[in-house]
Amino acid sequence: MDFFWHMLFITANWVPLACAYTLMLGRGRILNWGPIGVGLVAAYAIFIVQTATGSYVLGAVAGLALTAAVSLLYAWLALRLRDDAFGVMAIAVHLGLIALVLNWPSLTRGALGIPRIARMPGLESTPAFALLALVIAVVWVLALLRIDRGAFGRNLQAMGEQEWNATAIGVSRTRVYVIVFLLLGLALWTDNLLFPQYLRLLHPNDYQFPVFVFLITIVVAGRPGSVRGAALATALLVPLREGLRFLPFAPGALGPLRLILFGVILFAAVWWRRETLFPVQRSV
Amino acid sequence: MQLPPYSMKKHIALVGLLAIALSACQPAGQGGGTIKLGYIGPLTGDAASYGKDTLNGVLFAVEELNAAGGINGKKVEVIAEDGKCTGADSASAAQKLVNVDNVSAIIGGQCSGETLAAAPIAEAGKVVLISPFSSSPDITQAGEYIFRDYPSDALKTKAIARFFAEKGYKKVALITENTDFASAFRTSLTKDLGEDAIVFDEMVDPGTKDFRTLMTRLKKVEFDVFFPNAQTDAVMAAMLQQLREQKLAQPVVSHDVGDSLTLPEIAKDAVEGMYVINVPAFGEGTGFEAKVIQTYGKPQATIAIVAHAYDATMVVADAMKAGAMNGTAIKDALAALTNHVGIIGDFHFDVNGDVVGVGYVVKQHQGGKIVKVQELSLDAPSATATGATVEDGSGAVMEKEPGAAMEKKPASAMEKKGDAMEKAASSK
Repeated sequence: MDFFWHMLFITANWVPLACAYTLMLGRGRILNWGPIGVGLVAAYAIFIVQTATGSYVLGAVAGLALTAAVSLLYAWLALRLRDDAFGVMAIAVHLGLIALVLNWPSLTRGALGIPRIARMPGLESTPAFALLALVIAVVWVLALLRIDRGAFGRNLQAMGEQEWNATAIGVSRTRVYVIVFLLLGLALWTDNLLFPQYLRLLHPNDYQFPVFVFLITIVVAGRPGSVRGAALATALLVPLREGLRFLPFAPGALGPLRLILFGVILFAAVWWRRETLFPVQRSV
Repeated sequence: MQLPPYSMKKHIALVGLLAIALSACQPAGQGGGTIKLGYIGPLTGDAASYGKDTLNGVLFAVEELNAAGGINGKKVEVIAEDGKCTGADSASAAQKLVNVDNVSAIIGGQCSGETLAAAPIAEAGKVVLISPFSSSPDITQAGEYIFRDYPSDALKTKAIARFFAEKGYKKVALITENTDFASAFRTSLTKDLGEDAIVFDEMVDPGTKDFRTLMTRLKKVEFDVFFPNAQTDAVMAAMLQQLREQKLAQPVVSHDVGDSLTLPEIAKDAVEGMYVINVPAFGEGTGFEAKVIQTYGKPQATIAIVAHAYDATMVVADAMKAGAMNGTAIKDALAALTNHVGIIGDFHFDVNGDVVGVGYVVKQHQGGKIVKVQELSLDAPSATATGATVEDGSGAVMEKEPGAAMEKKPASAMEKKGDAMEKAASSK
């Protein structure tokens, strides 16, 4: 039963990030290839402060503040760079943030990560984590659906499809970008408030590009821009990835075989959604 | 281009596929008459060579156990999981092994991050986890169900500090690859040598191969010994080649990563004379190695890693044979263990689950080979031998040159066991 709760937790914990990211990529057509860097900052800020002070509240507030600051940095870059240039810049910022964590061992313990992270009171068991993550995921999905269908969602889509026309009718590009980057930052903060506590370990290896590749896969499989699609794709792909552990391959060959099989599934997902992987602007 | 309209049918199809996939996924090894041992290690990714070797060590041990009738009449089954050297994957692997497969014990992880992430889950499930390869000092405090038969880096750097003191090396130049293993090593080494002893201390990104700028700076520094603190032999080879290109002739001392015969192939003469301080080459040249190679081919890293995994499995199996059939009983049996005769020697565990009894040796790259030149003990006064040693074939360690402190030593249990296996292999 604990494995079920574990699966529920890791699936639910992906949902806010996948749903917020699909809005940015699918609706806003903002090629942000470095969102995991913001998660890295969120996690380290929360747990460095929490470890130093013993206070979860202080850790959470510090994490939120720093996450907002880095999100605004991303937004600022996105406002000043065109699509592909920002994509490359976002990767560079992600790499820079990883390098910062790895090379500031007196603060972050570098490549060693931070072990034995204490859990919040009331979050001692896997079911407690799973239920909390599930509630957060449901709230996020409902909130993002509302946002997506509201004025902001329309502004974001207009900005993604016809930036100049949207600006001409009074949509503020700056406002839209700042809000969507802050939304994504908030989702990353939520994820990273729970995940290192759950593992009792904060390790830079968990913030490398393979994580982003998986995020992109979820978003593409769920159709970029669709909050419901992202939530459903998360509910499909995360259990499927873990479900591959149950396939009875011989121990000597299971690592590569599972990887190949998952690669085939990802290929199929991307092939199925290939027309939306790099969306082009609608032309009139 | 207009996005295709949202299709609920497609998503229903997706969920259907998920249901089919999950219904097809039955837990492996449901047989009621077997004892399940879990394994976690990097079977894919950059560290897969270590994972492959440790998995082979576990499989080899289990094959032997089953050939001898299993444990208390029950066959042993290995359920292997890929930890990918990350905490997230290792946690999922541990959750499955503990809560779905209900394994009796877990051998793993290999990367320290894997072990640290799996440890709380093993603790909560009261399942013994014994790592054959994690060396981070953080694991010492990982929990009462967590053991390892590979020594902590905190001990190895003490041995290195002792060797430096013997040799009179007071100023150390250190270049560290920024990985968990090498960073932990740097921290421990700096602590044991003292910060003042490190006169050149640089960290580089993982996989860096160009050290020319650093070596140019190093030329201006006065130092007694160079320590290439790399994660892989390819990076270490680049460090050594570029050190010698700058005509820097100072001696070089390294750790486990330098204990690789790939190094002379890559770095050629640049590696000549380099000292390596590591655990002995357990299993090398014995029947154990021959049988492993015969069964699984040549180890991807070293036979010693296979030996550590083999012994980790066997020490758990011995506890179970003695009647410890659940996690708590196995944990108590391992904690109370006074001596286990394994391929890696005679060992037991301290109160933290760290291995006791695995010593260190100084080896040296000489003419494309790695030769043991000295034993290092953290307990007794250090050996003063300067002559190279070779194994004489009877299991005893002999000095090559007379006059040094080490004389003929009795064959260790490790060598005895290796020989016994050799005889068994040759008798087949």
